Amino acid sequence: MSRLIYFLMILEQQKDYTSAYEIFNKNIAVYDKELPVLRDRRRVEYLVGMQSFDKAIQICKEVVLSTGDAADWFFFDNLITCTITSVSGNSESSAADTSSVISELVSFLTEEKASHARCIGHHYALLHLRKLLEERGFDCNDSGLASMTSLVLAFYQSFGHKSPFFNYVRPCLTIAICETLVNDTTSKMSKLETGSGDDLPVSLDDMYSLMAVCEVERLTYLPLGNDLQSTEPQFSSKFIILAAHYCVDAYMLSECRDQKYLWTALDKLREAAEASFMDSQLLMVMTRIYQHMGLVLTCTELLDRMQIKQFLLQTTSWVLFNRLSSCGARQQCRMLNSSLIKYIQSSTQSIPDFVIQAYRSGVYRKIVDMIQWKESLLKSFAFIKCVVEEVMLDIIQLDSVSKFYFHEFLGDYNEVMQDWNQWVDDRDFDVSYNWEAPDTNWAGEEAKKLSYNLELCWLKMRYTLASCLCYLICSVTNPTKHFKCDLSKVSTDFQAAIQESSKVFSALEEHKLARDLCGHPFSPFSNQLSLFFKLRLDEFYAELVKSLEALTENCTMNGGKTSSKVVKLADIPDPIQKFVQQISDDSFLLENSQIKSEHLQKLQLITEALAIYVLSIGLLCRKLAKKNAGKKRTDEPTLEFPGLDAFKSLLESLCDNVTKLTERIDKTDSEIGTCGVDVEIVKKNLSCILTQIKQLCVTKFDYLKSFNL
Amino acid sequence: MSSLRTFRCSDFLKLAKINLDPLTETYGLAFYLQYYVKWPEYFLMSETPSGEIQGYIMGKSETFRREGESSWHGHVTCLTVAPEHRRLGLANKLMHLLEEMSELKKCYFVDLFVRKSNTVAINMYKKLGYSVYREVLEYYSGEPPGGKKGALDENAYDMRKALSRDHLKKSVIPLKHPVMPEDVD
Repeated sequence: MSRLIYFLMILEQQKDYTSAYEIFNKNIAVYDKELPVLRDRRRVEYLVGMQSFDKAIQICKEVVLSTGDAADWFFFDNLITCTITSVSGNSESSAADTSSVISELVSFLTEEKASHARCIGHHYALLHLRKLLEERGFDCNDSGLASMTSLVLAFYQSFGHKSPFFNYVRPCLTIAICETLVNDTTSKMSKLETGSGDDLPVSLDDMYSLMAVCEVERLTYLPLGNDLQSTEPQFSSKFIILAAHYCVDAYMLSECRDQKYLWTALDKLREAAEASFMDSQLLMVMTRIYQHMGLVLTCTELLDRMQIKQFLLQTTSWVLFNRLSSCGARQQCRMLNSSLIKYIQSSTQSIPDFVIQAYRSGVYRKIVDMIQWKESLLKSFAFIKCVVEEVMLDIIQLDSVSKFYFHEFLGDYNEVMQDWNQWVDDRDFDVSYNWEAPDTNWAGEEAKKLSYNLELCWLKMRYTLASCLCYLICSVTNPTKHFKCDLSKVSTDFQAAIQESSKVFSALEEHKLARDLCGHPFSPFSNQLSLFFKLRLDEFYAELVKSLEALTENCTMNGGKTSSKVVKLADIPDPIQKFVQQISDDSFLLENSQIKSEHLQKLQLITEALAIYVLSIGLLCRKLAKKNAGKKRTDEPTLEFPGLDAFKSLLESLCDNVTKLTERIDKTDSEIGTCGVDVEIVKKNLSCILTQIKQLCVTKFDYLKSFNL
Repeated sequence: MSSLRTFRCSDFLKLAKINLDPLTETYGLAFYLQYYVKWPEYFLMSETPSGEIQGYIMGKSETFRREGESSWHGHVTCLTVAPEHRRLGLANKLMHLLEEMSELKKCYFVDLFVRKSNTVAINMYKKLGYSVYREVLEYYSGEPPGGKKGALDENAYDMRKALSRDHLKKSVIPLKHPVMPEDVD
């Protein structure tokens, strides 16, 4: 049997469906571990591959007739597709013959629909048939098929109360149909959800009226869920989620992006979450709004509540937690990063055992699938992002011996850079997607693709910067070790990555979709690159890396003579100095202890840059110390860093201003603030992040002191 | 409406919406791969015409060591349907397929474990012909989803349905007393 299955797989690869069909029918069907419905499915697949449409149609009809309400959609789909393909591909058939064949199909489906009134498949088949006929230019009038509007209305009347109704009919909707549907139906939910485009509300007043409607409907549906378990989504939750989206739209429409609308959304969502404790859709929308507002600690609490673990981390980590690292929540970031890295590593290590097991069991099809899956895990965008961020976290917190894996991280450099576009975008935006805003499609393919290009550029910059720093760390701690990559190459790649990011970022600023989605809580675009360029960190890092490269490779000391080496690393850009001073202004802390999330992200970028600067100084001092180790000198050469005093002053200002800011936040009254702001949540989040920033500044001071600087 | 097919590894990237449901446990990859390789015929997915996964079922066939060949049965390890696709008969369909597969393998019965507090699921299984065979004390560790914080481990019902091979329905005669998890094979 195993050999037969293997032979079958080879025939399928060679697309020799005729032989495969013959073997399957004669031998495998008896022994293969498949359900009858799956065997029929395989037969149809082979017949379609052989272009033997008549036989395929026959099998599909038999299945539809015999299984009735349990008929698999696959057979409806192939019945329709094979019929249309057979008539359109037959050049000898006349228009009358074509019409006759299609009419016969329509009659078959209509009769089946009549005898299975409660089966969605039979109804949907007619919709699908109508859509395909229109797309391929067939004349539907002679076929006896009703109009699309009538079919959609009939489908609605039978199944409009089912949750996935609109998703089913979405491909068939046009503006005209939507208007008819809205006028003919009595459900307010359908009116709210139609989303045809032209009738969308565009003013704040419209948003308010829709939110009010949602609230009325929610209260209407709330009692219906009294008998539901606390773990089930409430019927009324859908209106809340819709209302939350309208609040977000109101936030985007308002002048100065008034956060009161976001707090209104959060209020409604929290109230709904009390009735439906574990409704993950409510929690996800809340998480994205909290994240947008920089309240990242609350995000991780929701993460714990949703129990996001294992493979769920791979697809949801960017969508739900991409702001963690950018807002400076380092400890929380570490937990996530390490969980995802552990999942990917343990999974890839365990797959070979299962491949062997599959071979022994004779399930050869699974072997190919598992090997492809293993390769895709190693090309996961979420994985490489976590690895790079984890390395960067280790680097900026480094104060003693280097981590052993820095060397391993460098080991793959050439391979990774050779094909940078190998990474697969595994971000799942559908996970928090329950309302498609027709105007700005933040979950659409175009937005996802554009944002992914931006993410890749950002990641490339981070990866090459991390590689430069790892190289320097390893060259100091293990100077005799041979590296597979060359520092000048890594440095060149880093400069090129900055240039590329600048170009991509400039192009995206001109793109309408990116501009429309800028600042949207559910936007797939992160603004890290924007802030990076605003703070002129590109110039800072470019200069720093060049200096380090030159100093590391060309640094020599004159033996026996007193000499000092003056080291100029990089100038601290003006925007950074201005921002650090700005922290002490009263206007930096907004009403109710709020700080703009953009400011938090700037703080994180600046802290990181200063930490790397300190690290660079430390590495050079250690390099000199190693060079001079064991040599007797009465007058040891020293390193001088012009601008060090100014730098230390800046670091001190940052530390002081962050401390003062924390004190101002602590003094704020904890009562519920204006416009629904939950001051307690705001204070808790900010205190956590600012404490981590301050701790980092203090450790960097201590690190400099250890070199008597 | 739905299409049925066997599980593929790439489906892991599409399960987030389903597995975020509080009563759906998310296991390590090795757990799923074990079923994928050993019992692929029981690992079935249901998807919409557009390819969105609506639900899945994982199961196996085994005997209890202490009871021998007469305990050859199908077991439902995991059955879940995405919240937005519930009340469409999908769970019924998936259970029916698992039972059909167990019949092909000449099992005596099909069994499953369900939280005692999950009355929705228990009623669904009862409608499908399952009955409570025994109660397993403290089967589920930790507090139940949506339950009180600090609550003890939760009990489970072991529910069974006799298949055609067990024409005397001996396998579903309920036990009079509850058992501990270590008494379950």
